[in-house]
Amino acid sequence: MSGTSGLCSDANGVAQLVIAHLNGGTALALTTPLKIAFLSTVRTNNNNTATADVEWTTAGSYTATAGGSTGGIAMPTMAAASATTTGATQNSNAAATLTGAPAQTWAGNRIQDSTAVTNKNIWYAPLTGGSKTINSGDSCTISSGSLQTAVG
Amino acid sequence: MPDRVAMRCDICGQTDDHPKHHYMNQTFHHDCTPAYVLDDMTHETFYTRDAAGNAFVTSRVPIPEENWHPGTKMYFKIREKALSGTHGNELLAHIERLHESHVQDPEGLGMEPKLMVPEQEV
Repeated sequence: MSGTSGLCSDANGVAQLVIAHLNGGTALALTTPLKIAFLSTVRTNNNNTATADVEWTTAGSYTATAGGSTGGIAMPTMAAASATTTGATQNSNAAATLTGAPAQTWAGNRIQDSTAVTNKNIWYAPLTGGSKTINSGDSCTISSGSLQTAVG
Repeated sequence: MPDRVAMRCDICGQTDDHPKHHYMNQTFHHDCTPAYVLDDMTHETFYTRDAAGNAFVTSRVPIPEENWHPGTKMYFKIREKALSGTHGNELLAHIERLHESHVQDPEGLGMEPKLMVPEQEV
């Protein structure tokens, strides 16, 4: 994943919760499992106020995300976090696949937690190389190492 | 298959509207998916980093089949059917039947994230 991406800071985002936590405020609480939502449009700014995310609707084998652990696909495993000259990074170290996709545009993905009623939106990113047209029945794989997260 | 977009398979070069496998920005027929992609879907990657923070792959360890991503398990059922010569509408119907009959966990997931594996030191 690449392009304009980062921590979500919309109303259900975590960026503002992270910074409050780091500065001695309320501890950030995330509910597992984390899950990956598929998007046909990806936000162009962190707080989702310009072009907003549009998630795939429930169709084919894809279930749109909702409260709790409903919807999306399972997160792959992540490698250990590493300190870098600009902060820290942590990337996926296994692939994640959706089969039986609905006819859609795959523009990117968003990672969210499983908080009941309203999930917390964590990361967002457009698909590397641009959007792809997906026919019903297609399989979509997010390759190992391509879920790249960084703070700093 | 009406309303389907014909796409080119990056391996065999054929353009058709058969169900395809999208591996990030690459596209394959399910039975054309190259070995490195199958390897990626069934292995865990371990990295090391140099002083500048650049990551290098040090090893790829097979993931036990019972721990495969739920989508990987389903993918290989589709691939098996495609390898047996089922393509186009027939394969699409098979994929739909697979998902209808598959007893998925009711919340659409199926795998708890595993514990993180420590990264190897340089």
